[in-house]
Amino acid sequence: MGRFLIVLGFFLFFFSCTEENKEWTFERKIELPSKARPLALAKTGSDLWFSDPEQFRLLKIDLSGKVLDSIVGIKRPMNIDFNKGKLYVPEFLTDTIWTFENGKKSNLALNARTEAPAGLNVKGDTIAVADFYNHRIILQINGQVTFIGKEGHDKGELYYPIDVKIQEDKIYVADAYNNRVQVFNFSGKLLNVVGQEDGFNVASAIAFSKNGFAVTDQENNRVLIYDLNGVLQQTLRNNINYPTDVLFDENILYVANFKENSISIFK
Amino acid sequence: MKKLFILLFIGLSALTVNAQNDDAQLQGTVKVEVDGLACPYCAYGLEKNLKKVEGVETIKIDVENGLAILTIAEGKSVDEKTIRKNIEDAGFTPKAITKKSDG
Repeated sequence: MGRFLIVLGFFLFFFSCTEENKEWTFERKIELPSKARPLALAKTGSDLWFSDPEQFRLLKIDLSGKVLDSIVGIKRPMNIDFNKGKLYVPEFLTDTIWTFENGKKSNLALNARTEAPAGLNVKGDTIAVADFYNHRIILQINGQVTFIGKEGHDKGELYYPIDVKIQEDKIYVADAYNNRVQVFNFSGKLLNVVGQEDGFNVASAIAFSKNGFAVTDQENNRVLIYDLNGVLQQTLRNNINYPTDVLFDENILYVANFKENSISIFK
Repeated sequence: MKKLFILLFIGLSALTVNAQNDDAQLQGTVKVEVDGLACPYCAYGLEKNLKKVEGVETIKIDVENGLAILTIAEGKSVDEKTIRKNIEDAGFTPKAITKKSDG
């Protein structure tokens, strides 16, 4: 009995370790309509949406790539997000953030001017916007605005941020043209810098799983997976073509291939 | 000394040609070569800035070849200096600007 418990304990320990250090492997590509160029992904329930700025539209698809719905006439939709069933769409050319819910389009009230919103993340009453041409993050909590970062290349400064994620009490910024991810608290204090030594050439998007986060290395055709401390765990290099966004959903990792009409699935 | 004058003359001539180019009035379809145009965000940023130029009707950005193709509204003209400034404001370096029919 004692031996049985030891063996059982070993197996439990082994499987908990493998979950923690999951290796992602390529499974297949979702083929999209021929003219589609997916820039960003968002998912709620079974609905997978992608922004297609080349065609001024967003498309909703199933996992076979069949188009189920569309939103057209958006002037370069960028990194989109879902929160409580509402789709948030930054419109790059008009400095507007649109929301879509049950077919109704509304303008999100942001208490700061943005110039070219490239990405956003919404959690409850907290909204973070990557303000591309102003080289900063706009953090709005219950209507109160805090600016994070300013133009520059030193630690804590930003250079064309493209994506942002709110993770508990931290803000993760895809500091795209500084080729790194920077982590701040809600007051704008720098907490960590990730990827500085990993050879990024445009760090354009971030996505979280329960064990860590993934970052797209756009110009190098890579996706880098980190644990929650920012330690590199895995680098995905194959079956990726100009990744501009990444998305975790349960045990699936989706990668948007902007230079072709496909989304790669890793499991 | 004579060589110095010749070099000075060539230099001044080159500057004059540049100044003339900058003041040129652009009409019809214009092709602009842009340095550093590599990603979609760059392309859309350039598009956004060029849209601000009065008289520019349509803009097509060709990221692969580093080109911006502008159509100037019929009956209107845009000076080259303004185009160059807006490209620089978007964070890029403008190179040759030619009429599309010039190749």
